Amino acid sequence: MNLFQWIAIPILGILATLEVRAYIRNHQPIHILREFVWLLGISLILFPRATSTLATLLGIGRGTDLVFYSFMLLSTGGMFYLYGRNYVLRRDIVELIRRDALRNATPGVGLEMESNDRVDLPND
Amino acid sequence: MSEDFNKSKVWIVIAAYNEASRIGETVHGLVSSGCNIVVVDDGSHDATSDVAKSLPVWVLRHPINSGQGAALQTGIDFALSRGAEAIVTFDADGQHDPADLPKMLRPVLNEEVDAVLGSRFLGHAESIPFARRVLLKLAILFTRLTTGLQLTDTHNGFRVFSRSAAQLIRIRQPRMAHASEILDQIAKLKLRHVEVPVTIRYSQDSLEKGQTTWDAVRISGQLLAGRLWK
Repeated sequence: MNLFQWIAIPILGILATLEVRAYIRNHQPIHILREFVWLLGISLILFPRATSTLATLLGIGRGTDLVFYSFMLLSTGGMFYLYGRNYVLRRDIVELIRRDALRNATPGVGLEMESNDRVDLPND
Repeated sequence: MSEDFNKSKVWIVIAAYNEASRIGETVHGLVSSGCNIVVVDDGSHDATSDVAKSLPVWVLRHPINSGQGAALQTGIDFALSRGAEAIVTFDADGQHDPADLPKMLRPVLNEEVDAVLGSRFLGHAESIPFARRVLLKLAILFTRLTTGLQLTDTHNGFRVFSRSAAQLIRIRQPRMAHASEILDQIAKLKLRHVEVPVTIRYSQDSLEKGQTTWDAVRISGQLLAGRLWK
């Protein structure tokens, strides 16, 4: 093993262990996906020629190209996922803002706030 | 429109963002109609709320700028909670002519349709720049392709909804894509609708706050996102 392997593999090993512990605690599927990523990282660092073998099988040629292409695909997917999460989050924030605005409706000049004024908030 | 229609059941919703200099004039033009008015200040940085509070209108304020679609939905929710039977959406920048209000309300109050959509191309569009006209025509084509609605003006902020239509339509696109979303829902819900000729007056201010070609691309992206993430 070279120096990089001595540094990287223990770090990834700790992350993989923490992921197992997190999964045992809350049983969320995301931990299985992360565990797969850490184990894949350990495998590829331990067996660097595996990427070259896989790249040759896929007709790409070089292992580094395979890693680069995979990174590009995962990044694109990740950005798409984050955009979606952000979109939904912003929509939820708007609902909170709306509830605040409805609760604090203010009558302008010449309009009176009646004692029974109450806004029925939408359920969704 | 019947003479004895109950004006207290008509609510005008105005979404306003940094409109302190124009909201007063816009509201004054509508006050004589006798209808209820609600101004939704969409997180303005200027004195929009303070100016609105000095007028005979209800004022709601978004603490954070959330977009015109979000502000309109807030105003519609408020109007519905106050027993509105007809809800008008009206732009804050003074582009619309309050004189068009009676003919816009008539089909909904007479229960002929569920939604009335103002059309500047059936009516008058004063001082409309060529680029804006082309952009709006492209939007019409887009709407015809995506919804099947044969409309002449798809991004006109002057609309009237019956109570039942306003309860069915839910604006989930917070920003400018709400105009297309409303039409999308009118088509999906098969709401009875009609276009009514209205007048729109463009000013330098309103053009600066209006949509650009790049906005059209962004709106398309927002509509696509809205369909992907329900």
